[in-house]
This record gives sequence, structure tokens and C-alpha cells, in this order.
Amino acid sequence: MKRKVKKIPKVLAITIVSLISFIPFYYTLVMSTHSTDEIMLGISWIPGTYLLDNIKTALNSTFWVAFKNSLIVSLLAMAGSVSISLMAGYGMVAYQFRLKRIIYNFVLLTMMVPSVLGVIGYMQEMRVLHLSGTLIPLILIWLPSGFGVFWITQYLQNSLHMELVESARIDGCGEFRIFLKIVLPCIKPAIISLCLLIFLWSWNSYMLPLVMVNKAENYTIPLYIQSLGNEHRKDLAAQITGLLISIVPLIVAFAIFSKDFIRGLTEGAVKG
Amino acid sequence: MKRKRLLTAMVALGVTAGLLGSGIHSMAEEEASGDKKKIVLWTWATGQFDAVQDAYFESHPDADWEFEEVVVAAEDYLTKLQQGYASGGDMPDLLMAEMGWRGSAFALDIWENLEAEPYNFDRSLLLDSVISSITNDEDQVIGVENALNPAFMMYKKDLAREYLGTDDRAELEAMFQTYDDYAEWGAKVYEASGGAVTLFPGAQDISNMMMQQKRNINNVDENGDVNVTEKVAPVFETVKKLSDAHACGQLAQYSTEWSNAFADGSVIFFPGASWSVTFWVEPYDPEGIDNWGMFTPAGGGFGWGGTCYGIYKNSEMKEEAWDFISWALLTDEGAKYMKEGSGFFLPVKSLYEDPEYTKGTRPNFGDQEINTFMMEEIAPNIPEASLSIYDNLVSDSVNMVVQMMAADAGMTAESAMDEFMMDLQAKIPDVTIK
Amino acid sequence: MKKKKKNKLAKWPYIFVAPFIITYIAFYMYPMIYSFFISFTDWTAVTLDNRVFVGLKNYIRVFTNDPMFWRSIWNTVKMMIIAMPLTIISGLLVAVLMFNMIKGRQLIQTINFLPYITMPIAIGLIFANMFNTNIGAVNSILMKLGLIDEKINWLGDSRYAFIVVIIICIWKNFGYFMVLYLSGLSTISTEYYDAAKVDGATSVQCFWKITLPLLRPITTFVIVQGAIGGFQLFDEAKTLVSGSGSTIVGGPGRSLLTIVWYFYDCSFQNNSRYGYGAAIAFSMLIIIAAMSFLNVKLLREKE
Repeated sequence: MKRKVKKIPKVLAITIVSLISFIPFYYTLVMSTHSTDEIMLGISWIPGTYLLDNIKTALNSTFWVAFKNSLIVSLLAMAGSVSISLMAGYGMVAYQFRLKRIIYNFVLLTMMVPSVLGVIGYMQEMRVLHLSGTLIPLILIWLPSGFGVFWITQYLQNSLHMELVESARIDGCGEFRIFLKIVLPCIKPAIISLCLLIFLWSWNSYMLPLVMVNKAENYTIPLYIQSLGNEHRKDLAAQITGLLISIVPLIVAFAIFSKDFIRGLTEGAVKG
Repeated sequence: MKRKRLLTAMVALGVTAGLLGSGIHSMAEEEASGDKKKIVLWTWATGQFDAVQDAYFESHPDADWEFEEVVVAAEDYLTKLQQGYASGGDMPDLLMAEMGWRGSAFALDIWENLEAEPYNFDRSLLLDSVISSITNDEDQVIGVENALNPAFMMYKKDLAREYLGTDDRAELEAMFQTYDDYAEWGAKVYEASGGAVTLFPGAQDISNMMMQQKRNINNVDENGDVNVTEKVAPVFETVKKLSDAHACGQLAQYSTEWSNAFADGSVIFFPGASWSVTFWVEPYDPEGIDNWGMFTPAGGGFGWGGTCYGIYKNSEMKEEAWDFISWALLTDEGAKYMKEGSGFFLPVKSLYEDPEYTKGTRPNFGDQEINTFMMEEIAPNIPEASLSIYDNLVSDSVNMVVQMMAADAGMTAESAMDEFMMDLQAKIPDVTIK
Repeated sequence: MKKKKKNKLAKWPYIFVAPFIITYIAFYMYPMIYSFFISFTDWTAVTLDNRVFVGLKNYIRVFTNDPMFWRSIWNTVKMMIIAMPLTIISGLLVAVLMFNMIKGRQLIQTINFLPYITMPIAIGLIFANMFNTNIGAVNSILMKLGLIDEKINWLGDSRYAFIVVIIICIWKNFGYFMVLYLSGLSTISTEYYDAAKVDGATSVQCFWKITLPLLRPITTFVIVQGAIGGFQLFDEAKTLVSGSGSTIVGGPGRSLLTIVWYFYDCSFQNNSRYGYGAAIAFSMLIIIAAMSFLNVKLLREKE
């Protein structure tokens, strides 16, 4: 009994903090259930009845185009980036070679370089390659991920048993086969969390699409959100609903994988 | 088993990656070679010109193309033009340029000279007053103005009766001869309503109006210096005066609440232009029938905004684009739809020979002959717009300082001026500001 | 035999590392070198085909004659200096409070993690709605609680707007930091605490003498992450301002003008001065370099 009483302030504090984290989402959700007129009258904390109407207005073709584009871009960025990071990370850990130290320091350095540094040059590069009007520039930029390589390197250092690799070599297994069949399955949590992270970053990325994308059929979700004000000029409720449905897919994805994600993330940090 | 699944997943991802990658390429090409040709138009005002566009296709059944509208916010438009051009990305076929940043847009080498072959545009078709705002440094016409934009004061009749004692246009005009009158009445309104009603929505409405009233003074003088203090100083003084008198509310121009104020009865006066009627009053106050009026404000009628159409020099749809522009913006027929559908009056000389053209009312303004008012009382005295590449920088600095003044009641006009000079100079350190 | 095997393997590390190196050179290194070259030229969208070499002129201007640059640096640093300690302290405190909790732990972690994964530009808009002067929730709650008599002009007043950005930074990162600290706590062996208890240490003493020092690697990681993120702050600030209906670059009084926003404005908005924009980016690098140097050192220590 006494222990329970002692716990109350603790639980209360945690609850309040969590509420603060959650309230902006709840607030947005509530706003999306009201009509514009109701929103203009001031805030209500009780959901209204306009959610379906708002969703109907907001879920137009513009949204679906942006959603599809974001999905394509993020999936490809994720697949490419994670594959490249896995390979590089494995190469760094499983072999002894002359440039190892240099490359490792190089990877660390790339993590510190702010990404805006090359934007202007990248834009010109894409112009020369005639990729400017496509989604490809939004994908290519994610392929090399210093963070990804660092992440995998850290993880492998702790969990890769070289004996396994050695014995597979003696059995006559090819290097690439070893990598695919023996190493990758050992580091599944790291792969999952890296996948989610890269997906998240490319999904949320704003400045590059803002600078590179100039036509509606190539809009990604952040650009869609930005255009909501014009798209539903008079309809604030639809704008807010558009905002909400743009962030919900990621929240759902995260909720599904949250256990793996958080574990992978924290393992990386703790080990790193 | 698990390993196998992971492997399959990896392979599947790789294959999809390849497929999607090539898919994007072919998708892009497919669009370009689709069955119907497209004229790409970037616009911040979707739907505003639907009427004239529909009418064009109706009267040109053999036009084998269609519009592809891309929504680009007005404030991002210039950025997008610069980026699209510099990155070799997509550009619109039909270019638009708004007055606020037209100087910078015209500086870009993206425009077709409309006076050259095959367009052979004759500038004498248009009213002389618009020529200065559609020509570039080499005195070539590169855009066609889509409207005269006479600007004036709009008021809500019910509130005017209640707080100003009259809803008569002439009486109001007589009451508000100077900006001091606004301050005086603004204070009265504020007091009488207990703060619930203000004369103007916000300070930015005042500063914008005043800047537009002097838009004939170029921001750059003959020495290449930015010469704006004379223009800007009275703006800050007036804003200060009106803010102190509580004549302005706290609404940021064009924000959601500002739009909402058209209907909610918290504001009496809205400085507005011809396009304000169709773009703001009618959509935001659909029930305000016969509840609006307009009069000539203190400082005189002015010109506000304005958009011109031009043709992208690398477009593959130049002839089609010109065919549309010349029909919509230069013929009697186009003029009819621009007027009825969008409330726009084309700056074409010949139209004004017909007295009927400038006649007309709109339900929100009751039986006031607003078209006659706009075109005969305001339009002839509009200051000609004078463009420079610093226009949007100057207005950005003015807006920022005015916002500071609105937030900080203690800020004097002098400190506002200092702030403005510092801010503008920081943006263009190599230019002398006077 | 062994030597032969080594030779056979010699090419493999390079094969594995090559895709990373090649893509990095292609999509980061080359653009950076290109940008670096551009930074010595006067080149704008207006003079697209006419790039003029101007030597160090752009850099001289950035460092000696560009108050806006320094202002944006100061704004960014100020945001980090204020937001980061608050986020770290709150994250650590809640992590410690939560550590022995078993029920609902996963749920609490997930909820507090949501802000971190939410799209930054959406965060800007959500907060612009919440802090809206007239119809926003924050003012209405404060009024109802009787804490204020007059509505606060959150997004029109430079001081308040700055506070809102700080709130966003804390709100966004708090859960992430907390989760990291939680995992750090789980690596501390209970033996330390037991020993300290035997010596008669209070729980507060335990925290200072045991928990905090042992969490140092996490704190380092968190600071590095926070600094990298902090210097890139742009999306939230920009949409917070545009969400309030304003088009002013840098928000009220330019108090939200971050370094990346300034870079964006110079390079892409304000007459697209690519040469000058590039110079700003590299000047920013020079300033960050000092910090990065520190970061690398800290990371190495952790190994």
C-alpha cells in the first residue's frame, strides 16, 4: 500500500509528459473532425462529426499521386541505401585491409558534413544527367548513407562471429553467399531499424523536393502538405485533414515496428 | 526458413527497385507523348480562370491540347521559376508573373519577345499605362497584362451604419479624406465596440495600400541606388498612428483568419482591388448580399497586383500558348469571359469605346455600379507600376517591420525605419540604400 | 596456404565497400566540389550562362559584411543552447522515473516517440494551428486558466515565436532522448546500486555518483545527434511561419531565421544567387567544422 502511494507522483509525472507528447496529435485529429466554420469559432476538445466529409475532400487525386510518389521514392531509397550500407559495413568488419582505417574515418566524417553543402552542385549534376524532371534525384541522394555504414559496422562488430564466416569459407562458400546467407540473418534487428530510419528520413525530406520538383505528378507528401493551403484555399478543415492523413501512414508503420525500431535504435546507441 | 524469407525479401526488393526505376523513366516519357498535348500552367489561383479557359476550347473546337495546371503558391512562384530554369527541370509553357516580384521574374532569360515573329504583338493595342509593367530592360514586351487592377476601399454596410453612422459611399469618402481620419474613426470604432470590431483587419493592409499608392516611384533610382526611404517613412508613421488608435486588428494579411474576417463582422474596411471581389469577397462572404460597398480611399485610388502571361522560350507549345493568350486577353470575346467569370477588365484600348463594357454590378455590392466605379473613377488615375529586381526584397522588409510594429506597441516610427534600413541593407550589402 | 587464401580475399573488402564509396563520390563529393567551385563565382539564375570568377569576394562578404549570416548562426546556436539542455534533462529525468516501470512501458515509449518520427513540416503546421492567436488551443487554455488576460500574439511577435520554436525542438526530441536513456539505464548493473546502498548512499547521491557518470556515452551520443539535427533546422521553422499566414523570410523580426533557411533564401529565393549561397554553405561548414572535430573526438573516445 505504502509503495503504491509512493508511486503516484511518478506515474502522474509520466502521464503528464506523455500527454504533452500526444496532445498536438489529438488536437489535429479533433480539428479534422470539425467543419471550417466550427474551427473558426474556437477550439473544442470534443470530436465533431465532419471527419468523413473532410476526408472525402482531402483524399483527392493530388493526395494519392503524392502518396504513391513518396512511397516509390522512400522504398527505393530504403532498399538501395540499406543494401549499400550492409555491404560496406560487412566489408569493414569482416576483412582486414590496408585502407580500412582511412575508410572508417571517412565514414565518420561523412556523418558530420551538413547535407545542404552540395545541394546546388547536385541540382546542376542532375541537370547534366537529364534527370531533373524525374523522381530519380530524390532517390539517388539517399544511396550513400554514412550513418547507415556506421550503424551496421557498430552492430556487426558486436554480433558477428568470425568463426562462422571462417567455417563457411572452409566449406567452400563464396564470399557473397556468406554475406547473404550467414551474416545478414544474424543482424535482422539492425536491418529493420535501419530500414525504418532511412524510410523515415526520405519520407520526411523537404528541401530537396522543394528545390527539385516542379510538376504535380512528381509531388511528394511534404510538397503536398505545403500546397494544401492553395489546394483547399477556403477549407481549413480539409487542409488539416490532409495534414493528418499525410502523417498517419508513418505513425501506423512505426507503431507496428516500434518494438524492433526502438530496440535496434537503442542497441546501436548503447553499443556505439 | 527465416533466412530464406529474408533472402527472398531482399531479392524481391532489388527486382522491384529495378522495375520501379525503369518505370519512373518510362512514366515520364509516356506523359510527354500522351494522346493530348498539354500546356502547362503554374497557378496559385486554381479555378480563377476556368470560365475563360472553357470558353476558349468551346470556340476553338480544333484545339488539340489541354491545360495542365500545377498549383504553386504565389510566394513560391518566383523560386520555382528560378529553380526550374536553373536546374533544367520542368517549366510551364505559359508563364505568369505577379506584380510584386515581376521585376525579378523579368530579369530571368526565360521569356519570349512577343513583339517578334511569330507573335507580332502590337503594343498600341493596350492602354499606355500598362506598358511599363510588361516590358523588360530592352524595352521588349514579354508579357500581356491580364487585367487592370484598380484598387480602392471596400466596406461592409451593416458595420458602417452601426459604427460610422452611414453606409453611403459619398459620405464615407468625405469622412475619410486623410489617414488621420482613419485614426480618429478607428479609435471611435474600437471604443464603441469594446475592441470587438476594428476599422481595418491588420497593419499590413495599411502598409500594402500605401506602398501601392506610390508604386510609380521605382525602388531603384537613376544611379542604381535603392531609394526607398521617402516612400517608406510615411508608411511607418501612418502604421504607428493607426496602431496607436487601435484602428487595425491583429490579422496577418491573407491568413486564414484574415479571410474569415470578410464574413465574421469584426472588420469594417478592407483595402481591395478588382480581383478582391471575385477572389475574397464572394467566396468568403457568400451571404453578404448587398452588404458591401466601395469608395475612393484617402491618398487616392491605386493599382494593386496584376498578373501578366508570357511564353517560355523553350516551350514546345509556343503557338498554342500564344493563340490562347491573344484570344483570352486581346479579343472582345475573351474580354467578356474575363470580366464575367473572373471580374477582370482587360487593359485593351478598344474595349473602352463601348460604354457597356464597364457597366455591371455584383450581388455582394448591391446595385452599386462597381464596374463603372472601378473603371471610370479609379482606373484612369492608377499610378503606373515601375519594376525593379529589389521589389520583393523591399516589400519583405516592410512587411517584417510592420509585423514587428504590430506586435510591439512601444516601437516608434523612427526605430521601425532603422530596423527597415538595417534589414534591407543586410540583404543587399553591396547596394547603397537611400 | 594461408597466404594464398589472403590473396584470394584481398579484393573482397573493396568490392563490398565500393558501392558506398562510388555513390558517395557521385552524389555527395562531386556536388560538393562543384558547389565549392561555385562559391568563388558570381552566378545567379539571371546570369545562368555567364559565371564570373570573383575569387574570395563571396567569403569576404560573408565574414565581414553580412549581418544576416551572423544573425542566422546566432539564432541557430541560441535555439540549440536553450533547447538541448532542457530536452536532455527532461529526457533523462523521465527515463529514470520510468526505469522500474513494467506495465505500459512499451506504450509510453511509443507515444513519446511519435513526435520524433513525425514529418517536420507537419509539425510546423500543427504548432502554427495550436499557437494561432485567435483560434488556437494554447491561448484559449491559458485564458481559461486565467493565466493571461489578453491573447498572446505567439507567431507575430519575435520573442514568442522564438519560444514556440524552442518548444517544438524540445517536444520533438524529448521522447527520442528518453528512449535512448532508458536503454542506457538498462546496461547499468544493479550491483553498483546495491553496493552504494550498503554504504548508506541516498538515491539522489546514487543518481549523481553512479547513474550520471555511467550514462556519459549516451549523453555524448545525444548531444552529437542533437547538434547535427539542430544545425539543419529549417522545415519546422519555415512551415511554422507560413502556417501562420506570413511569407516573411525568417519569421517575425527574422528571429527564426536559421542558418539553413538563410542558405535556402540566398540560393533559391532571393534572386537565386548560387555563388553566394554556396559560399554561405561552406562558411557554415567552417563554423561547424570546429564542432565536428569535437564530435569525432568524442565518438572515438566512446569506441
